[in-house]
Amino acid sequence: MSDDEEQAAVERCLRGESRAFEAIVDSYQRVLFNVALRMVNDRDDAQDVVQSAFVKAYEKLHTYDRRRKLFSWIYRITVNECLDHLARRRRQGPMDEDQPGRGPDDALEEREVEIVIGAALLDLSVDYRGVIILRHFVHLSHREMSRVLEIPEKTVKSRLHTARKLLGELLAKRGVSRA
Amino acid sequence: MRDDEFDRLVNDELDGVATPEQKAELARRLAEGEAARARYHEIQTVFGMLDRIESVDPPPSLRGNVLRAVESRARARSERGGWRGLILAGFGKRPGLGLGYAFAVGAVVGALALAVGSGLFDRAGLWGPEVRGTMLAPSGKLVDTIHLAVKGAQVTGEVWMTARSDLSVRLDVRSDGPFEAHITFDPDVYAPLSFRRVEPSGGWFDLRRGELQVTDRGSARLELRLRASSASRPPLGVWVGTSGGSAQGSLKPLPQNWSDLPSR
Repeated sequence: MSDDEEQAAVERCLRGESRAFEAIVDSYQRVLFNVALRMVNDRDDAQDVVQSAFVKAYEKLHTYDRRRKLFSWIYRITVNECLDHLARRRRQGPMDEDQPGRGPDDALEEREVEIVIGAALLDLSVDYRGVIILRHFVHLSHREMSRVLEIPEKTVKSRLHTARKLLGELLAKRGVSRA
Repeated sequence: MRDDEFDRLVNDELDGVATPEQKAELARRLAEGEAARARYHEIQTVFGMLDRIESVDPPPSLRGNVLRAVESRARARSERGGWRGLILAGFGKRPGLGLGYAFAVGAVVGALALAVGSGLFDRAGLWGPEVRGTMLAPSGKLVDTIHLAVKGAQVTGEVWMTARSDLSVRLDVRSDGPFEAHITFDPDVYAPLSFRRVEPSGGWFDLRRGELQVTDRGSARLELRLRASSASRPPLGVWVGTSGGSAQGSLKPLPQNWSDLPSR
C-alpha cells in the first residue's frame, strides 16, 4: 500500500468506515506478527499482542500524527503491547515457553537455532532487540529503519552494531560458537 | 585501528552498506592477520544464524479477529454516539422536552431505588433469573449475580469471594455468533491476578489497566481474578456487545450481609 493509499484508508476509518481498516491490517499483519513473535517468543502471545495492537491503533487513530509514517506509529504501539505483555508474564511467574517452531519435518538444527536465538533476543534490551528484528526478520534497510524508529541512520547502524555484538556474546555464553 | 572500528567495518560489509574504501580497508585488515579473520568469522556467524530464521506466516485467525473486534467497536461507538446525539438533539431543540426526560428518568430511578431498598424485589429478580453453577469450579462465596440479555446472546455474570478474600469475576456467555465482553474495575483498588477462558473459539483478550476486553464467538466462560488493595470494594462493570446491540450492568462485590452468605 502506498503512502497515499494508506492516508486515504486512515481518512476513511476516521469517517467511520471501519472496513477501511482491512487494508491496514492486510499491509502490516505479517510484519507485526513477526515483530511480536520475536519480541515475546511465543506464537499465541504474539497473536494476542498483535490483535490488541491493531485494535488500539483503530481506537486511537484520531491521535495519529499524519506527518509520521503509519507503520512507525503502529510498530511503536505493538512494541509497547509486547512490553506490557512481558511485564504481565513476569508478574505471573515462569510459564512453559511455546517455542516459535515450524513443522515437524524441519531439521532439528533449524529449530535449535531458532530457539537459541529466540531466548538470546529476550535478554537484549528492547531497543537492541527492535533493531535486530527490523533488520534481520523484517528485512528493512537502514534508511527504512531510520524512518520507522525515527532516529538518524547513523544511530541505526551504531545500535545494530552493538546489538549484534551483545547477541554474539549471549550466544557464546550459551555455547554457540559456530553456525 | 581499534577493535570496535574493525567490528563496525565488518558489520557494514556484512550489512551490504560498506563503501569501496571500507571494503578495501577490510580486505587489507583480513590479509594482515589471523586475529582479524577469526573476529570476522565470529561476526559472520551471528549474521548467519539470524539470517537462517525465516519470516513466519501469521495465524489465519488473526485478520478475522482483528476485523471483528474493530467492527464491534465501531458499532458500539456509533450506538453510543447515536443515543447521545439523539438525547442532545432533543435537549438542544426543545429544552422543555429535555426537562421532561430528566424528570421521567429521575422518577424511574427513584422508584427502582425505593423498590430495591424496601425489599420489594431483590437484584436477581430485577436483572432476571439467577443462574448458579454454570461457571468454572466454584469456590468461596457467591456475592452478586447479574443476567444480561442482548439480541443473539445471554450473559450471566457472577462475583465470588475466595477464602483469601480475592474476587473471582465470572462471565458465562452464550452467544449465537461473535460477541465482545468487557469487565471494568477501578485499577487503583483492584489488581488482576489471573484470567482464564474455558471453551474459547479462537477469540482474543486484552487485559489492560482497569479493563478486560474479550472477543470471541459462540459460548465461552471467562474468569478474572482480582485482589483488592483496600477495604472499599467499588462495583465492577460488565458490558456485552453483539452485532444485534449491547447491554451493560454492574456487579457489587461488597454486600451488607456478607457473613450470612452461604458457603459453597
